[in-house]
Amino acid sequence: MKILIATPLVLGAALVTPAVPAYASISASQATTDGWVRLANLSPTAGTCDLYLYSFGNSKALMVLRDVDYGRVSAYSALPAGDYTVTMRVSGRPASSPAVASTALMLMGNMEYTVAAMGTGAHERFQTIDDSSSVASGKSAVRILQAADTTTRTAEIGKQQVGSNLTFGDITHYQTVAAGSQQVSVSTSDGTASTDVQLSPNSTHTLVVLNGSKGPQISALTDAAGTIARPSGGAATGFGGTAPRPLSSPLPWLAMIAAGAFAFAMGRRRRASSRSSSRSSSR
Amino acid sequence: MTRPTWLRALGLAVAAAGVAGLLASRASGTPVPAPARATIAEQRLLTPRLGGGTASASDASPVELIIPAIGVRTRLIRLSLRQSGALQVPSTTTVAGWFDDGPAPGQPGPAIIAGHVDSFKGPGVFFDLSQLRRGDRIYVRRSDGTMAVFTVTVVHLYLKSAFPTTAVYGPAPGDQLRLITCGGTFDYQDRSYLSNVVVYAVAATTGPL
Repeated sequence: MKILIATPLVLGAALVTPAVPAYASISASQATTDGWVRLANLSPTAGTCDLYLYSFGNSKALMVLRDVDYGRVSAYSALPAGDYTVTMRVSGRPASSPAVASTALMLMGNMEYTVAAMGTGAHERFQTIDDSSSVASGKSAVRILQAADTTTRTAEIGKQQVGSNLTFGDITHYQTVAAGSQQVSVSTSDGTASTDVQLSPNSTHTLVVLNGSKGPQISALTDAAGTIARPSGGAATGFGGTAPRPLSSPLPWLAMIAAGAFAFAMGRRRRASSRSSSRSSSR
Repeated sequence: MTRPTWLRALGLAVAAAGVAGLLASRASGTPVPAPARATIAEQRLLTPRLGGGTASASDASPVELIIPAIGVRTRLIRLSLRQSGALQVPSTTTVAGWFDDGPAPGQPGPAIIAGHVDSFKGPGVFFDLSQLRRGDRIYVRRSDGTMAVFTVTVVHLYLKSAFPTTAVYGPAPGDQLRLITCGGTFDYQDRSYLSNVVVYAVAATTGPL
């Protein structure tokens, strides 16, 4: 799977949003809210394809994924919340050629999506799947996406059943499982498959059941991951050497001015009185 | 010199010193010049070659952080948790550190890097962090020589008393980076800043898994 980024995606995002000085985005909180999207070819019948992502109504693609084989899923890209179009074309055809399938994507900020080509036979189409990053602390959350045109009778992680009787296009809810090294196994109408997956604490995953060359095949995707340990609160990363000094009390300085003024006044008086006394003595 | 003249002169001098001291104490702290933003040429120089535009996933640990826009180039030390459960910070203000109980830069999830905004005397390694803006590039060199490249999406200032640990440390899609330093008001009684600056960045390249 080759990748060609017509406009580097995040740079494209930066162009869409007028650049604001950092202090402005600090004070104005979140100027732009990004959402996340990944594109996939999960259509067993579409063959290798090119996937295009457009800002809605714009004919110049933000991103083009070329030669995407069945089963391939892109990494997530961050995009400003808004409307987009995802289009599939036969691999190698020009961007002006008619689309095999197309879908609109309403991308919400702080949300994550998988937009997957998931058609069968004559009817190629896209399915937009809401992904999740929420998981119980220290655990993993896992779901099964049936992208094989068979029936998965059971899907298990360790000894925990996470799906049953799944047909093409079915997707289960996320289910909480223990983090760590786990064995995933599926039993389908086309045979069985099992694989080991590494589930880090505080992560969510989609396990995709695909048509393999010999029976089913499992592809493990990471939907979201957090730090393993979660620090409490913020970080103590400053000693104040560049902070504005607090204003000290002006009293000592005012006292000094007063003392000076007093001494000055005393000096005048003494001079005045000594002058008058010398005048009187000369008489 | 007669005594009254001498007293008058002293009085004037003391009063003048008092006025000068008062004015000096009202003036704000020493201004620290901000380093100039790296020139385009420098940025180009620092831009690493990326082999074929493929995903730069790697298990290697991060060793160096480069932020051309604010002239940062520092080695990275490793950070863990303090006994209190708070994020450990570098013991020196001139280097940044990577929190190693979480994703490494270029792995899925938020990679955490913290550095000081200042020392007791002057600017620290992340003094200009809050100057970063959307679209600025951040480079992290790893022990295997590969480079993870990120793009700034947003910069936030959070009160430490209301620090959003889920947003910063919690599960997130894609390869992300968070740079953390101090900001806001400095509390001279507690000798600490009341806020944190957090820079959010995402992997600048997108690629197949």
